[in-house]
Amino acid sequence: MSAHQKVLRVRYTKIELIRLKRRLVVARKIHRILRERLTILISELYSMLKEAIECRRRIHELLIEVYSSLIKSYGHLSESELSMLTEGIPPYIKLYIATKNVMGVITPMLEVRRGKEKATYTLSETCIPLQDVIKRMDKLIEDIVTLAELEKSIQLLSYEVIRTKRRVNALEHILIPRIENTIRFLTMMFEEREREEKARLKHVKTVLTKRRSGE
Amino acid sequence: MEKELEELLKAELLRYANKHIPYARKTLKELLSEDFPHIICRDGSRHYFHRKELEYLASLLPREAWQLIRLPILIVLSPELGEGAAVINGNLECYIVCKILGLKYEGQSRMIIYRPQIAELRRKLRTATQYALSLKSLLEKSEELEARF
Repeated sequence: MSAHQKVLRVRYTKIELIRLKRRLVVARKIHRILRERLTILISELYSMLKEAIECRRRIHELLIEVYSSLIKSYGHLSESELSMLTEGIPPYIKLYIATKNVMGVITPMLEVRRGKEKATYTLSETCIPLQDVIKRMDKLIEDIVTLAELEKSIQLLSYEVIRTKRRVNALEHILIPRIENTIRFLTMMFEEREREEKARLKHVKTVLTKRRSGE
Repeated sequence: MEKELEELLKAELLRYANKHIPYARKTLKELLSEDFPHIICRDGSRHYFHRKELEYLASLLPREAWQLIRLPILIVLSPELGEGAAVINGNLECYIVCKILGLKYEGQSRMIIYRPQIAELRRKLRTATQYALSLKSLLEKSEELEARF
């Protein structure tokens, strides 16, 4: 007997049958809601995946550009000059970490905010490739933060998808079929009892008629 | 007693399915004035908004409308419309959605959008929109089913 063909262990009473029918209705409602939730979670997961792939591609492109510009800037400035310039950068970028709620899944929300202080250099202090590096680095940091947010969200959403899928499957393939089987079994049993009762009554009636005719 | 329990369970189902919905939505003006714009969800968690999204919304709307629009915009998924269809309620909400999706706004206060449009909307307003499940039809369907027995 496979799992879904099994019947639940219940008392063979009509009250139990009524209870089972109510349980079936509730189980179906929960199943529908969970299925709907699963659909949303999966669509959200796919859209985040697409965005993460796009973001990663953008980061790779930016890194190639940044590194090539940085190498070019070594041609104009010495290493000590470059380190002196970088040491003077004030911490003008702040990272805020908060949470956002996606269909009941709490995912991180990262945000880059720029302070009033800004790293400013004149062209005489630096060179064109280094200015290019500085410009692209701002975009790069934002993209890296976005990617981090997306990847953690994807991870958390996938766990939730697995959990919800397991619940949906348990309801769909185990609980609901078992309740249905039990209802069918109990209904058949009560019908059989009714038929037996009818047959017995008929038999009693014939016996009584025979007795009366004999008198 | 059984009937009361059933009613309680229904309420519980509604609560569970929409536990991520905020207790009270805030206006765009309120959110813009906050340092860390956020709302409290029904499950007690905090949902923060990306400032960029709020600024983007502010750029789409005239200044007078900032105190009229309440965020997050709810994308109500209604199974009676078919799988993947959702409803947006409210004049300003519809106006914003039309602007973002490049649709023509005709003064409607309720509009239906479909899966690719939902994905586009969510991509642009990830924290300023939230899903909500319309369970009315689900519960009605179950009542029909119950009546069959």
